[in-house]
Amino acid sequence: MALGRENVFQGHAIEVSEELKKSTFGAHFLVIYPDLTTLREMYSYYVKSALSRDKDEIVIILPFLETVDAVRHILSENSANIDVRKYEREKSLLIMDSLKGYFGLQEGLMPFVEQTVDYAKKVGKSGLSVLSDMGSFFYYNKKDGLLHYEMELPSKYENMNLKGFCAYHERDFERRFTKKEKETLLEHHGKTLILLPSQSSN
Amino acid sequence: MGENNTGSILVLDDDFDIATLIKMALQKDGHNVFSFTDPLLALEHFKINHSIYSLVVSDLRMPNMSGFQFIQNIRLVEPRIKVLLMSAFDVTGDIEFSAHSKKHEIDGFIQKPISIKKLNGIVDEHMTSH
Repeated sequence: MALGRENVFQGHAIEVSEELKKSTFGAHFLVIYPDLTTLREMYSYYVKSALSRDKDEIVIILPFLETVDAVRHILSENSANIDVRKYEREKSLLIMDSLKGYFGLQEGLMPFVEQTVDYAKKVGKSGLSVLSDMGSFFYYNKKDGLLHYEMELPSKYENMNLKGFCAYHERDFERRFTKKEKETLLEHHGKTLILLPSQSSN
Repeated sequence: MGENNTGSILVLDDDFDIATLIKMALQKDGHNVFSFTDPLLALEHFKINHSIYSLVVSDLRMPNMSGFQFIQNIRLVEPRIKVLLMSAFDVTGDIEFSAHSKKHEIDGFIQKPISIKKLNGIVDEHMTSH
């Protein structure tokens, strides 16, 4: 369901995941989710596809509102049914706490991402998908740092086999940013995907 | 919400199932409990009804307001209220967490998942020392 702006898409988990699947390397998209249940549903579909033989990507997930073990559990469950251990062992799937990813790595997250893009190329993978929850910036009261970080990233990762999906909880996005800040973020990302609550959400 | 509710507990967790589970467990243990999933709603409620509360139990990582930010706001209304933080994340050796806990004078920490028996034990301990 396309909204007024061509680069804004609103849909349920499976529809948003289909939109993400259609994206090409270079994409830097904004994903707004209403609750954890819906986000989980969406990333389950997406990660399964990205790791498949067809896509053959490396995937990094940086959750904030759930633990790394919770993500492992979700991905192993019915709908995704991913062999998480196997993919983690072969370094095709990396799950890292968003707080550690953004604030715990000595050189920061982007150098790590760039290294992983290089690694993907080296081992014959098609590229890298990164789905990160930006909520960790708010946890440390770093809204300005978050805006600065986002604006430092390009709207499109040129010449990089990288897809970056920045996920924001709807309450964070709507209540923590000013109207102008929201517009700036929407304009800066190549596309905005707004998730509608899944039927199993509370 | 009358005088009978004095000594009530406010539970805040963005996960509806967990908030409900904790509420039910504490109610079964004889406490008056009000649970919330939205920190802003919980804060608005607390501003109006703070006199009935003896204890606040809040999740740490939530959208819109972290547990520390929530406690900071709660303490502006009721500086002496007892507060417990809870999280599914391992905070062992987390320097930032320790510093914030000290700064916000957190009375205790609940590591999730937790058994109902243990939860009741921790809450009872802080309710009796009120």
